[in-house]
Amino acid sequence: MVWTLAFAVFAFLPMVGGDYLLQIGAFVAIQSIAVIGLGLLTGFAGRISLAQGALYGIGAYTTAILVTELGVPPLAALPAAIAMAVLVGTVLGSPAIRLSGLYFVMSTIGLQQIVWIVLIHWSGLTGGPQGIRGIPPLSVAGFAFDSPARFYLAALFGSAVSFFLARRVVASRFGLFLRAVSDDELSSATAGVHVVRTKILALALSSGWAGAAGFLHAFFLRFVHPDMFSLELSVVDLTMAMFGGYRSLDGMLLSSILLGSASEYLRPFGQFRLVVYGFILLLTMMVAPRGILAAAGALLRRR
Amino acid sequence: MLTVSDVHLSFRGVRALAGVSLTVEPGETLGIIGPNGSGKSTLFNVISGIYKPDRGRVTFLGTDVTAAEPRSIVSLGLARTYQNKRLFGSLTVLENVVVPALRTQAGSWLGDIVGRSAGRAAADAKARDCLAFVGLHDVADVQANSLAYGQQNRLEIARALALDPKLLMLDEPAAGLSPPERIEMRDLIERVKARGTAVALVEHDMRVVMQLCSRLVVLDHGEVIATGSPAEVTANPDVIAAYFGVPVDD
Repeated sequence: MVWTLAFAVFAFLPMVGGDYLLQIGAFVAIQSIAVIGLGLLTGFAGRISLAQGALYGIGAYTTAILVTELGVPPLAALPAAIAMAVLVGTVLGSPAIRLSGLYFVMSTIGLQQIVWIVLIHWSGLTGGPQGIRGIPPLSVAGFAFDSPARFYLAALFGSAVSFFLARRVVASRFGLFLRAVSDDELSSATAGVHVVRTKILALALSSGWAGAAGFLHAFFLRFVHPDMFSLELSVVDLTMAMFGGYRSLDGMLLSSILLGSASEYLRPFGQFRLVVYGFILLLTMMVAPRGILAAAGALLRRR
Repeated sequence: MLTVSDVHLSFRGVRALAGVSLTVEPGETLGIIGPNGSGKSTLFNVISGIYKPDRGRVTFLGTDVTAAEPRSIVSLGLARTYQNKRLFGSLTVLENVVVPALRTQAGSWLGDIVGRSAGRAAADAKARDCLAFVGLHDVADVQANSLAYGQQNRLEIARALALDPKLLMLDEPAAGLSPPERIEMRDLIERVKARGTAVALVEHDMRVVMQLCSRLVVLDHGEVIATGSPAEVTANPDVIAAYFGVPVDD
């Protein structure tokens, strides 16, 4: 309810904000999709991934290639971007999802690096270090989202859909199994839960959300480059998901807004931006391991 | 209904089970007793598919389940509880029981996304029945982590009952309970028996064991050292030696 209202309020941003603000807004909205997807894995399945940026990139590149090289209508690239991210995430992630803790994290860094290397070296397909330029604006049935205000609204819509869909996923029996499995794998199995299938599904959904974010990203700058989807993006996404918290989609959305827009205030830090993110991640783990909303709630109760 | 034959299991050379054989008949309550470290919990883990034995066979209702996954053993009708309470701590008491109750319900998570499915509602109702059966219905919405110790034992049992077991394996359900709670636990197991469910009970409280079990199996150092009625077993010199040591001759 609160968030329905919040999304409605955000929809009026174009009436008050300039193009710069709208671009930050669009960026935050796109980012929130990837963060919520990652949050299904970190916040609900208890698995930390540093590959969300790569899967995001798969979605963006799939979109860029289909739209520029093959002339596919923009909206038709969305299912393809999602499917491709799910395919890569699931095929490469499934063998690793059985691993626990650090070993899984390490394997996701591997996945992240593999994707980045493929993007930069498979020049024939991806344009290599040149990236892919000339992506047309997002258009649906002849209506082009070609101004910052229009694109912002499209991105906001995407963010809202992804958020409310994720809420339904978490409330479904799969969401229940996911929480049970992350509490105790062994007793989940002896309670009849298909543990491995549950974890792979979490991975697939998380990848799908990244693919959808990548789709929008391709139309945001209308240019894609491998460095946009490097480990840095994965670290930023992970920071946002952890900062948002444990089992709280609300917290993840809130932290996407707070930290996503902060990436603009942090521009003066230049190449040290990532250090600031790392610091936020560290502080979160130390001070509020269950995320900002849980920490705020605990503070309020103490009063 | 359950047959364990000649099961051996070692962990890095440490012998945990050395040729254990036993059976559980339909409707019977079998007590499995023995000193600490005699292999009782290990045996439960082998039967429920968590450990694979090095040698030997486990069959349940005519199906060889020696190498089966825990999930498929559960679906044959064999449920268990854990001695060290493996509840879903962050879930509510009700949700803890809804998870197993969903196993036999129609529908999928995709259906749940579209609307509230009938299977979900049926699982809720069934979970509430199980909670009422063990006497936890008034704490259904409490987080499982914050339950008192005695309540956690009963939630373990409710969770297992939601699987509609034909055989229920209870791993020290009375451990750590106060004397009045022990009596309640004994009555609860009595009511489980009355439903026609066979029970395999690992328990240290001999009074509970004596009152509930028609037959006992005694384990020591991973071997069955005695089988029989409670009276026979407690008179067996090997059993006395296992518990109290061998008397020294002057």
